[in-house]
Amino acid sequence: MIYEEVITLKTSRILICISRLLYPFMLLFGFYIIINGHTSPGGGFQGGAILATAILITYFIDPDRITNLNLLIKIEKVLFILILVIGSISFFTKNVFFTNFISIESSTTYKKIFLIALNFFIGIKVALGLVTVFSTFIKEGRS
Amino acid sequence: MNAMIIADSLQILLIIIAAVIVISKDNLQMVVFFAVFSLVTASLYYFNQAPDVALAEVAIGSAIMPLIFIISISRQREFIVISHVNDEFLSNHTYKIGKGYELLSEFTRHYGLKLKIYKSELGSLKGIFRSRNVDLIVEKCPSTHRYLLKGKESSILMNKLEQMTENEPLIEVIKIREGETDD
Repeated sequence: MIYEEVITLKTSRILICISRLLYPFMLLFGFYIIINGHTSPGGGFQGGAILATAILITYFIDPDRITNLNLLIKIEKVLFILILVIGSISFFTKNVFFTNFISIESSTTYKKIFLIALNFFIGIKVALGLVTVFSTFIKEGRS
Repeated sequence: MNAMIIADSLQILLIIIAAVIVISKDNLQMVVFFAVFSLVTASLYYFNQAPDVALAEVAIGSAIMPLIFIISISRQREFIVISHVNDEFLSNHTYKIGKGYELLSEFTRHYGLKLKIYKSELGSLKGIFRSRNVDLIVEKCPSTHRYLLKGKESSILMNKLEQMTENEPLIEVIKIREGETDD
């Protein structure tokens, strides 16, 4: 029957093995997309979604791995404030909000620091948010 | 020119897959086609010079959404019973199978559901929407010694359960309106 397939899907050994093999590469790919977001396709949101998929795959390996959801939500809130702060640094250097805080005359090597930092924090925030939503969905109704 | 032909054939494939999703009756098959739909859409985005959107579509459309669907489908196939009874009415030991357990397992097998019985004292229920998730509550009436099966009035399954227990003198099915099952 179909419902038995759904239930055995979680405990299938092949799936667990493949997930273990795939997990580090997915993490690597997600971070690659986030960190190269300013020059190549992708960016914070896309890389964050891939990171979230990688973390969610660990539910196949070990369902009880993520236990402390409140901590995840707290980190997400802190990251949100951090993103706002990074955006506001330019007020002290250029007297304008939400622009690059490094002056225009400097070379691109320094100017891209702003983009990389924003992409990185946005990526982690998106990943944490998706993991939180998904974990509440899985744990809803279970003790 | 070559890329144009590929993009056109992908669009035709997309229409076919969308029709299959609408027509298909099997939920699991539908989820798999949904993932394929997202993959084809992502490759179409790529052909139309939007690799950014394609990445997001692959990550969300073909990985996270099917996972959510599969989990909700597997959740749908459970029949959750909360028991407030202390005797062997619901026991499932191999040497003494309770009458209620026999009845409920036959009932759930008929619909292809998975029976889950939780024994509970008040206050041990955890989870966010725990109390709304219960399908059936089993109690024993202290005065008449009959077993009361309480379920939602809106559930179609309750009619079938009422039919099955018509001939049992000790069992009574009570239908409760929505919102009163929070115990």
